Amino acid sequence: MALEFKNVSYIYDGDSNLSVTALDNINLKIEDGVFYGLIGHTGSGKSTLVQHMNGLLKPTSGEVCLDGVSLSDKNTDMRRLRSRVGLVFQYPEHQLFETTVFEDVCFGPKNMKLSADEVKSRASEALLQVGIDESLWEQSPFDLSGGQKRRVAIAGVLAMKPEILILDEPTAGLDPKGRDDILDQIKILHEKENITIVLVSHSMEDVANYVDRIIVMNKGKIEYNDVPSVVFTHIPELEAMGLSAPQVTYILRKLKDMGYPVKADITTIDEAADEIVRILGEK
Amino acid sequence: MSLIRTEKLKHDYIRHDENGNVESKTRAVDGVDIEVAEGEFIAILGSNGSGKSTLAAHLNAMLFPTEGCVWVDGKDTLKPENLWDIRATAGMVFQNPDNQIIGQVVEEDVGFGPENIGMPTKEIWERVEESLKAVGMWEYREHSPNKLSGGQKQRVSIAGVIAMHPKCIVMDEPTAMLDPSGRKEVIRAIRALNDVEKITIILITHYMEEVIYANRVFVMDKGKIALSGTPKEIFSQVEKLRELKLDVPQVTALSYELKKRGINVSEGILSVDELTDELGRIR
Repeated sequence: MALEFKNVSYIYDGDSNLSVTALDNINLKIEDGVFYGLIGHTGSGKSTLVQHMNGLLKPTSGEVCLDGVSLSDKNTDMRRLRSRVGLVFQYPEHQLFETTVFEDVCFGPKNMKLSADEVKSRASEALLQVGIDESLWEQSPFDLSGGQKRRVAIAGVLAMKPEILILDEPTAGLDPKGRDDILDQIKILHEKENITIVLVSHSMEDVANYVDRIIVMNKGKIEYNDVPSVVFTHIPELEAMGLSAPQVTYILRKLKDMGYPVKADITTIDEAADEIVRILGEK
Repeated sequence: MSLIRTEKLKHDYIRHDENGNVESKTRAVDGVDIEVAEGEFIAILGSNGSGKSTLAAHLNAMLFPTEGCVWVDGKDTLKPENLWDIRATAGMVFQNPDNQIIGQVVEEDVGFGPENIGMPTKEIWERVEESLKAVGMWEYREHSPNKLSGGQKQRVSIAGVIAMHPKCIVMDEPTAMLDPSGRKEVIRAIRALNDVEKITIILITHYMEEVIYANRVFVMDKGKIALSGTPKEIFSQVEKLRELKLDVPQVTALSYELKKRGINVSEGILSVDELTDELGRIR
């Protein structure tokens, strides 16, 4: 299923003189099975954009369509929509509330009116997918570490078997290992279950390491929607938007400026090491 | 004399049941001895749950030792009569700027602390001016904090702390919630406070790139100081850091990778220029 934005604008406080245009005529197609990174500085409209993807916000003008049907259509089943398009908010662990980890993950599928057996099997599957060991399932979610809580919260959304999974800064505040664990698990999910992923992130390095395509937002508009190696060649433009490129991209760019015959469109450490070894070998 | 000193510092979080009996005990800090001299810039790294924040909270007497001692500017934090002096010596900045700003206008927010201790009006305004100038927010003095970006809000929070003229500021992940440009702004402000105002800085962070400006780094693991040294010494130990669930800046990781592949670059490279210079030398 494809999610499509057609001329979508969204204005906060439109009827007052303090109105803010958060989305400005967005045209965007979220293709099936693609791992997207969504970047942009604070206030660029990223969160407003993702809240349109599962109908939490309705466009002021234009429409968002899922399989060709507008989300603003009165016949759209919102509950079904939200299980198909799962949204994991920032700091999702603040939304844990049940007495046990397992019960917490059951909450979503239960609300979908599935049979008790189906609810249980989905919760087990989701917890295993995010790497939460069975020994923790009967514990209170509040006794877990920060990274574990975060993964339980993500499992709660996964248990609804979304076709599109949107994660708003899922690694904020986690240590580097916790960050890599979560991103690795998201990548595995993406590859195994073919779930479409939209990862909102402030880390250019994470985005470069994991995603297929990057959507760059600035002032309510989409500036770029391309593969990382292309997006990160626009360093001056990204910096003007309050963003940057991964540190390795700067290294290769600098080497190129120094006269080395290197490719400058490199975004990960491995690629950079290969490229430097290659040019040093060629001298 | 050292500004901050801890001796065999231990801290237990104790949980009581309904009847007041001890239900569980978690040792968060387990025998920490550190000394920080006036004017130093110290960074503290460590995975989630390693005890960083618990240690930090001892440095301005928000938490008290279960065993051992903490002296701030020569004053024992366990003595109640020292409390005000200690909190005036060591200011604290937290992760979320939204939880730290109370004023409706930037300059009022910064003046809140001095006003609270009954400072004459004229002096309050002088302090507001110098503090806002120190973090580069003077031109926003008449703005509403709500309309500022994350990095700007965090700089206002820091100004509010500086207005109290602390000798030392303890920052617990002040950049965790910010975008790349916000992070840069805040780190620039912190470095200026250390360089120009000679304020002692203790910075807790998960961003390895922010650590390279520190004079010394402490790495915590399971409540203990696992490593300490200059950033160069610390980041030379790539494997050890990864064992401790941490990482190194991308440029350091790339240098390490190149070394593994037989290219003769030095250990603990911290900046893009350092690496490109070395590669230039090799060629």
